[in-house]
Amino acid sequence: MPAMQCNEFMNSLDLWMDGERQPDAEAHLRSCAACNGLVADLEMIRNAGRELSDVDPPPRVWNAIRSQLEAEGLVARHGWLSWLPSFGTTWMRPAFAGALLVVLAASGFMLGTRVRNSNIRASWLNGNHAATAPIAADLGNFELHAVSALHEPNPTVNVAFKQNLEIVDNYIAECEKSVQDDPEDELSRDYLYGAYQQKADLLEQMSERGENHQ
Amino acid sequence: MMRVSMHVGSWASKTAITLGTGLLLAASATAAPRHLEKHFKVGARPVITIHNPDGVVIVKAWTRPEVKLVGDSDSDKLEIDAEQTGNRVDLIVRTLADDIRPEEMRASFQLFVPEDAELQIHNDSGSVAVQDVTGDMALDTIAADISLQDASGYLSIKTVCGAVQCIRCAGRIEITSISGNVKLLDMRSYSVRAQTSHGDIAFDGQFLPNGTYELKNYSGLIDVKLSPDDSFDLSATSVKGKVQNDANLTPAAPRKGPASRFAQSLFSVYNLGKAKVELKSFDGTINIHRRE
Repeated sequence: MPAMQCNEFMNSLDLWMDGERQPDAEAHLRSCAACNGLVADLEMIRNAGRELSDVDPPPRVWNAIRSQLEAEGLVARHGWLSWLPSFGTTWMRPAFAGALLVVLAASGFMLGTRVRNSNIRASWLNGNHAATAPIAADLGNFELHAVSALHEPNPTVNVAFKQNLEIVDNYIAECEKSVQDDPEDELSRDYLYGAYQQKADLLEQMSERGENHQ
Repeated sequence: MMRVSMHVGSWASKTAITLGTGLLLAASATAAPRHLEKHFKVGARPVITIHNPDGVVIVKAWTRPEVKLVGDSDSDKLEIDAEQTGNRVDLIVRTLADDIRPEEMRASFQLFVPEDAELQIHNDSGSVAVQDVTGDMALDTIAADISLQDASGYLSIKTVCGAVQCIRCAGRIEITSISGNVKLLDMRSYSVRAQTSHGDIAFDGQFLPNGTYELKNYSGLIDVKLSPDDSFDLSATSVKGKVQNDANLTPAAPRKGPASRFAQSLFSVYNLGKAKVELKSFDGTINIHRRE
């Protein structure tokens, strides 16, 4: 039987996270550092999620993320993501969502490793787009929520949020352009995902402000 | 009128404070400068938390096993709540009205704490200064500048756009900012991780054996001083900017780094390469100077 490939393992990832250990998946994990790293990250986040105390779960936008992930088929409707705290009927923790963004990025690039060997620029572009499009869309939704919810009486803080959101947006645009120019460049991709993470963090702060002042 | 809430252990104390608050309320019909001074007896490694929307927060270490809190505000739309729970002292400033004007949000504090105190400070705007405190600290601001002097422990600093300055700091330092400048001077830290997207980073300090030093920005300057006596493994990369090396140091060995079509890079091992120094910029300039 031919050895399992990364894309096949990705298709069975939710089963793996649910504890179903197929021999071919186990064999693949032993030989694939990228998939092994992804599983390790997911397990670490799952464990951290279990240890989180029960606090008011913030932003509603994370439900939109879940809906979108489901709609795009990136997660199963009732799969391993069910271990997420408040990831069903209530809201997901922003910090945790930030971690999820990283995982999304990692998984996107893991998929990207398949096209690295073929060395085809178009494939790289497609791979990068597939990895970043959901993140960009989710951040867009989150931004709508965070900006509209922000009722900050301190003008210094208001200005700081708006100016820095603009800075991060410019940062993202520049990094996206750089990745577009050279999709194989790891440094540019590293900066792009860092920029997404930074925007998620900033929006999280803005969103929490909105919640606190309501 | 500034409302002062002091929550302490006994009913008598609470009553006295309530009466005191009532007297303060009765004494003034108009907003006037208010002064607060309180003392809290604490044990070893007390935890001090501060939440303040706007103003100056100064924390200094002293040798007494107590926390002295001195606060000032001109606003009648702020509630200042100072509470001790066991070995923790919480200072929380809340706004009492939605229509509060910016100048009415300001409250400034000076605290004297045991040097091993653990600090958790959130100050939106204004400034935070900490001096001689050796306990762990988490400082979180939106626009407030942060200044640390002779601090150690695990120092976690997060600011959206405040400037950060550390002088003679030790321990482990993590700084995250979007547009604040970061200045690290005369450092003795074994672990430094500083990241600002749209700001400058300056580092002048020792690279301790087995230490890790990671300075990263998106644009702006990264300015680092290196000594010929330092032992470190250097990696400096700017994706679209420049790496300028004026240090004129002789590496023990060149090193191969990750390839990037656009990046300007410098990878070298100096002396035994005991510390790891990583400088990264996307569109900024990395300047490496010689420290005599």
